[in-house]
Amino acid sequence: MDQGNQEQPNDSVNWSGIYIGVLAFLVVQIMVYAIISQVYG
Amino acid sequence: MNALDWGVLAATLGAIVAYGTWRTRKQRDLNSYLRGGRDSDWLTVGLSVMATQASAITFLSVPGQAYESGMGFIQFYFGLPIALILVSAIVVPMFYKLNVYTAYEYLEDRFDLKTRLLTAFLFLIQRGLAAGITIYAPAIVLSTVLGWDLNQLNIIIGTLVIIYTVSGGTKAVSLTQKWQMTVIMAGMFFAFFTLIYYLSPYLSFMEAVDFAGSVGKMEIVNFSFDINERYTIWTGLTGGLFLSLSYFGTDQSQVQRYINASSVKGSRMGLMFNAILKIPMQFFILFTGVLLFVFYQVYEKPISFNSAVVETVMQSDSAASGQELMSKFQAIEQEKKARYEVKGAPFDYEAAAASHAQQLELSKEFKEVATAVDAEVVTKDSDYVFIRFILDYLPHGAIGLLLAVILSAAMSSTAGEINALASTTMNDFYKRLTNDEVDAQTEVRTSKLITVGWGIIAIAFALLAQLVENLIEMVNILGSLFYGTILGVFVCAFYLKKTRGWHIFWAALFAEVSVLILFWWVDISFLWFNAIGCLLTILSALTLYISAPGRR
Repeated sequence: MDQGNQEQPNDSVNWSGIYIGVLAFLVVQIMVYAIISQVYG
Repeated sequence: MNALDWGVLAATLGAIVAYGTWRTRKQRDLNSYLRGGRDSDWLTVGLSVMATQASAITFLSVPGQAYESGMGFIQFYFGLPIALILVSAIVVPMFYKLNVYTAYEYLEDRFDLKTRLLTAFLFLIQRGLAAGITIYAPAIVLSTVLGWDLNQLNIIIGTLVIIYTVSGGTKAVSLTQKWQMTVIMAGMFFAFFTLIYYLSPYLSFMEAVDFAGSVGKMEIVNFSFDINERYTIWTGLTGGLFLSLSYFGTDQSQVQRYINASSVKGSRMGLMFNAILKIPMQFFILFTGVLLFVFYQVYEKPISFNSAVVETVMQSDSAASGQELMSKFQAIEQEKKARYEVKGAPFDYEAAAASHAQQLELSKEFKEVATAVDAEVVTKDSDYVFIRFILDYLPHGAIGLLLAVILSAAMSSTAGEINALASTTMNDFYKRLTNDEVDAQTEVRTSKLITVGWGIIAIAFALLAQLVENLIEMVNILGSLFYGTILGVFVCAFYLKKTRGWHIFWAALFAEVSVLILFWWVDISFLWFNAIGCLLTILSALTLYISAPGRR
């Protein structure tokens, strides 16, 4: 196996922030869908 | 279909295949052929991951699913963003650090060769069969509706895929998937706005949603704890999470897509692109299906969207009872027609709901007659709803575009699969087990031959598919028999740091044999075998580790 790609995860992107953002977006979507279900369901 | 549709269909598919083949005509070594040279940008990776997952049957079935059962299916995807975050945070850096070609290569580094080969072998069996189905599933629907020859269609789809996948390898797959995804979304938007256009004289967008809600089609989130309910928020967040974890983390057809990025950052961004857009995209496709349902409350619909069901009944001894049901169904259609004869006539909620309930009952009775005539006829017609709308109501040109969408989706998934099958065969078996020192060109040539081989196997399986009863379910069952063990091996690799190859290999073998024995002896839903295989692998590995911790 060769040396591999030397790039490491600390690539100046705040990944924790992005993951929290993605999770928050998931929660918001579920809430919106739950509200739609209540209003129209 | 007229000449314009054929022109659009041929031009769209031809241009994508030609583009992929031309752009990747010079593949000099195995790295560029099987890993795309690791220079794809994050958007190409993101769209490629999305296109591999979205097969043709997604675009045929999902609108039909919403037409029949409403929006609840979306909950199945709730675990997907969480799984993608875990894959992005844990799995991606590991694959990049080890510079692997396949996910199973990592297992040799972590455990030993035999664990790698066993897991890769399980993947080849499962995905090899699935590649045939990815071709066959849309082909059977298109051949029924359009009257095309099923065998010819299987061969055409398979051959087109082989041309660019063999010629350009992973990079061609990613590049073509990017354009296939663009065509797919353009086609879906066109269908969506056409539906709104058709409905607009009778009811507004909000009124359409309101009516869909009044007949239960807008129940998106279900908080019920009833284990008999297939789609609830809980099954989505747990079952969906495990399924997505094994699919994105251990299935080479997906791993190959995201390790193709130029960096960990690109790979992660491609995955996050999917984590954000997958649910809205599925929502959009399902919602198109709900609008389709409202559409057919105003416009004419058949008693069964699958014309083969009608033919079965009308050519049998039960034709008289079938005709009687059809006459009653048509009478309701006539009432509907009279109600909306004047363009702009207000939409009558109550009358529409009553007509729908009556027609639903008549359709059910008709299907029962069909089943009594021929027990093997597929009476479930939801897969045919969207394609019937496309053919009956879209303008010429757009029909060709939407058919290109369906065939593109079939091709993009199949290409991803045979490309992954080839790289696993090449890297995990051929290169690893033969010690021949060969030049880069010979390696690429061998990989191309292996890709052709898998393409032919996929086509052959698609051709044989019609001989096997209930084949789609059979392949799903086969997948579930192997997926759990594969996921279990990877979970041990990531989290049971002290376990060794000896523990995992025998644990996986024991789990796989146990799952196969259970499958023959225990009558439970096949989906449970995913969880059983995974848990058995982990528990057996732990037991072996505790009883013989130092054994390697």
